[in-house]
Amino acid sequence: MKRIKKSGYTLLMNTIIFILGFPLIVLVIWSFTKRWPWPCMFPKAFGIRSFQYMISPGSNTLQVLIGSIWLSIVVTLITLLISIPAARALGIYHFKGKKLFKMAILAPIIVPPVATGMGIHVAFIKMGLVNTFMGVVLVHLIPCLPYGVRILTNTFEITGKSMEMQAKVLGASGLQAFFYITLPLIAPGLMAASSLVFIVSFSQYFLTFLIGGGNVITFSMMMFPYIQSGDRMMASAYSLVFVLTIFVLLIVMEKIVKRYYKTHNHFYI
Amino acid sequence: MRTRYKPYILLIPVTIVLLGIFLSGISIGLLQSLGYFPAVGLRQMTLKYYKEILADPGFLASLRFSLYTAFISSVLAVIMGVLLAYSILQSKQKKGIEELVYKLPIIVPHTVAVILVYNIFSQSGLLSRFLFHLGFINEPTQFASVLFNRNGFGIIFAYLWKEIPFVAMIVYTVLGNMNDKLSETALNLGASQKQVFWHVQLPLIMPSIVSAFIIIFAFSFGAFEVPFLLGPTYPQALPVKAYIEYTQPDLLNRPYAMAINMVLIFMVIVFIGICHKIFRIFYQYDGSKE
Amino acid sequence: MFEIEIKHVLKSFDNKKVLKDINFSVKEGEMITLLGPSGCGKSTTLKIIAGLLMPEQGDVLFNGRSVLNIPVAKRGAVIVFQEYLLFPHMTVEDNIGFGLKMAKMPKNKRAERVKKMLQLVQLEACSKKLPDELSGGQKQRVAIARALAIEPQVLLLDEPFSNLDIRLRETMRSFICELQKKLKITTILVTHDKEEALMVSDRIAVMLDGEIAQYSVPMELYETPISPRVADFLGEKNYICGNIDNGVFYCCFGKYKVHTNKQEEVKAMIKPEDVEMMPLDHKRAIQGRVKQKRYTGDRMHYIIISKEMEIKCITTLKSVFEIGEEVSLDILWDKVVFYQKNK
Repeated sequence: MKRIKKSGYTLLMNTIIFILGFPLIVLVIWSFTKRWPWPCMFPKAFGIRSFQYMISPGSNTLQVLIGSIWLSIVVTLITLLISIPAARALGIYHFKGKKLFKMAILAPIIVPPVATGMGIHVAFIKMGLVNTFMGVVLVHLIPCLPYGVRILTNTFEITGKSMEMQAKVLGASGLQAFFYITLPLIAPGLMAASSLVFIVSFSQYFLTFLIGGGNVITFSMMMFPYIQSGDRMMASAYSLVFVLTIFVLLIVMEKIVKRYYKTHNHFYI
Repeated sequence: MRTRYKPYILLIPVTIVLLGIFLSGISIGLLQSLGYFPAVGLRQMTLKYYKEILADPGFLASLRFSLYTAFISSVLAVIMGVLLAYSILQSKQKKGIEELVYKLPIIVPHTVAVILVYNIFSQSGLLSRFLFHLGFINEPTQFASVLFNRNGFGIIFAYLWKEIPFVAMIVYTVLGNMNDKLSETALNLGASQKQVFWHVQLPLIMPSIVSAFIIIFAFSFGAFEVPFLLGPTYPQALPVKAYIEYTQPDLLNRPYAMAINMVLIFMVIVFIGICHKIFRIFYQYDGSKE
Repeated sequence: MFEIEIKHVLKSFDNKKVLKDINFSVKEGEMITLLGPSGCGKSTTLKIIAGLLMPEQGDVLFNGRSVLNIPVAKRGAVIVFQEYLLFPHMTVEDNIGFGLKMAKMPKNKRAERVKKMLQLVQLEACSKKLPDELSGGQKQRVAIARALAIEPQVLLLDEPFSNLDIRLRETMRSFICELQKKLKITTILVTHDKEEALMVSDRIAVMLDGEIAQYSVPMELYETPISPRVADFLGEKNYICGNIDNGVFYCCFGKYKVHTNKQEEVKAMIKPEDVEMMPLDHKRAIQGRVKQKRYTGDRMHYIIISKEMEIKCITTLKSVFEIGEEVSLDILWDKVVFYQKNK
C-alpha cells in the first residue's frame, strides 16, 4: 500500500517535470533546425544557420551580448555596494522602523515595473538620463535591490555580530574586522546575491527598452523581435544563447569565489 | 550613542535610491494622473482621468482580463507547485531534479518562457501537429487558437511554466528545513500521513505559500512582456494598455496612462491587503517569530 | 601590578534593568568567577569590561584608571566566548596569529609567538588545520591560545566549558587553571555551574538578578552564604524557624547551644549534608520516617518526615535506610547558619 503511494508521488513528480522540461528540449531542437514544416513531428533538416547569423559581423550579436554582460556587471556591483550596508543594518541591528525599512525595500518586487518605469522615464528625461547607459543602470537598480538586500540580510542574520566582536576584542579595528572576518564570512551570500542580481538585470526587457530608448541595446531586447514575429528558429537560438550565458556565468562565478576564499561553505550550518 | 544611529547611516544609500528613483517615479506618475503636467500646460489637479478610464468599457475589459489571467495562473501555480514540492520530497530519486527546480525559474526569463509556449501551442506548433497525426485536424488553422486569444490561455501557460518551479522551490525549501521531529511527533500521537500534511505541515508552510502567491500574482498582474507577446488585441492586459497610451504621440494622453498605472498599483495593494486578511482569519501562526 | 575595579555599573536593555549597581574588584593574577543563573547579567558584565558594551552609569577601572573611553580593540581585555568563535576561514595558526596581525607585528616575530602558543596549548600538530577539523577540546584550546597570544591584561572566559562533555570539561578545567596559575594572568570566569566555580576560583561573586549578592572565597561562600537566596542557589537547604535567647536556639526539635550573635526570631539554615542519619534511637532528640530516597551513585538523598516537616539529608552509602523506616537524626549545629527571620 505504502509503496503504491510512493510511486504515485514519483509519477506525479515526473509528469510535472516532464511538462516543464519538454518545451526546453523543443527549444534546443528548434535552434538547430534548418527546415521543420507543419505537420512534421521532427525537423526535416538540421542546421546551424541561426548561430552562423549570430556570429556574423553584420548581426552585432556578440557586441550586444558583451555589452549586456558589462551592463549587468556594473548593475551588480552598484547593487552590492548599496545592499551590503543596508543588509548589515537589517540583519544585525535592532532599531526602530526596521520592519518598515524591510517592507519598503521589498516594495519594488510587488509594484508593477510598468507603473514605476513610466514615472521614472519622465523624471529621467528632465535629468538627461534617458537613452544613456547610466540611466539604464540606475533604473535596473530598482528591480535588483530587493534581491540583493534580501539575500544579504539573511546572510548577515546567520553570520551575526559575534565573530566581528571576537575580532575586535582581539585588537582588530572596525575596518580590519570587516575585511578580514566579515567579508570572507559573507562570501557565499555575496556570491548568491550577485548571481541573482546579475540575472535579474540581464533579463530586464521593459525597463531597459523604456529608459534606453533603443540607444542602449541589450541581449534581451535583441531577441524580443524574433519572439514577437514568431520566428521560432531564431527566437529559440537566441533564447538558448541567453540561457547558456547565464548558466556559464553562474558556474564561473561560483568557481572564482570558491578558489579565492578556499572555503567550501562549511561554516554555513 | 554612535551605535544608535549606525543602522540608519547604513541604510542611507538604499534609501536614496528608493526615494530618488522608485518613489519619485511613482509620485510623478501620481501627479500626472491627477492632471498636474506643466510641460503641456496642465496644472489643474483633477480626478477627471480616473473618472474617464473607470467609465471606459475598454479599460474595464482590460482590468478584468489582467485580473483573470493573473489570478488563474497564480492559483494553479500554487497548487501545482505545492504538489511538485511535496512529491519531490516524498519520492526517492530526486537528485538533479532538485537542482533543476531550483535553477529553472531563475535562469529562464519570461521572454524565453513565451517562446517555449509558442513552440508548443501556436497554430503550427507541436500540439497542432500532434493532433493532425491523431486525425483531429487537417490544417493549422483548424487548431483552436490558444495564443492571442481572449481566453488568455497562452499567457496563463507562460506564467505557469515560470511560476510552478518558483513556488515549488520556496515550498520545498521550507518543507525540507522543517524539523522532521514535528511530523514524527504527530505520527507518534496517532495522526495519519494525510493528517500530518493537513494539520502540521500545511499550516507551517502556509506563510511561505501566501507570500509566494502574492509575489507571483503581483508580478503576473503587472508584467508587460508576456501579455504583450501572447495576448489578444482586445482586451489588452492593463500594463500593455498603459504602455500604448503612454506612447501615443499626443502628450495629452499621458495622464490616462498614468491613471492606469495608479490603478495597477492600487489593485496590487488591495490584493495584498485581502490576502493578509484572509490569511489572518484562518491562521494565527504567521511564521515571523521563528 | 594589575587590578580591575568595577564601580556602580548600571545597564538596561529595553527599559529592563539588567545590571543594578555592580561593584567588585579583582587583584592581580587572581582568578575570580561570576556565578549566577542564566539571565542574571554575568555575560553583560563581562562585555562591559571588554568594552563591547557601554555601561549607562558607573566606571570600569584598570589599575585605577578609567578605561571607558578606550575602544575594545585597545583595551587589552580578551573574551573567550562559549562558542569559541574560531574564524572558520582561517587555519589554527592564522586564528592564533590574528590579533598579532591586526597589531601589525612583523611576520617572523608573529610566527615565533604563534609557535610558542601552540606549544603552550599542545596543539603543534594541528597548526595547519581548519577549525572544522578540530574536536571540541582542541577548538577551545585554540580559542584560549588566540586570546593569550596578544598578551592581554585580563582574560575573560564566558562559560568556556559548557559546550564540552563532562570528562573533557574536567580536563580542560584543570588545563586552564594550571595555565592561569603559570602565566599569572588576571582572569574573570563566568559560569552557572556552582561546582565549577567552587573548584577553580580564588574568589566567587554570586550574581542574582543583576546584583552581586556575595563576593567571597569559595569555602566561605559555601559554608556561610550571606542570605537564604545565595544558600538556595548553591543547593537545596533545610530551614528551621525558631528563637535565640542568650546563645540558645529554641525550635520544635528542642533547644541547642549555638554560636551566633543573631537575636530573637531566626531561621536556621541546615545543609542536607550536615544532617546525620542513624537507626532509631530514642535517646536522640529528632525522630522521623523516611519518605523518599534517591540514589546518585556516590551519595544517597533522603527526605525524612519529622514533626510534619520535610528534612532533606544527604549521606554516604555507609548505612542505607529503607522507605518507611523510622530513623533518628543529628544536626551538626556548629555548621548551621542563622538568618534574621524577616530576611
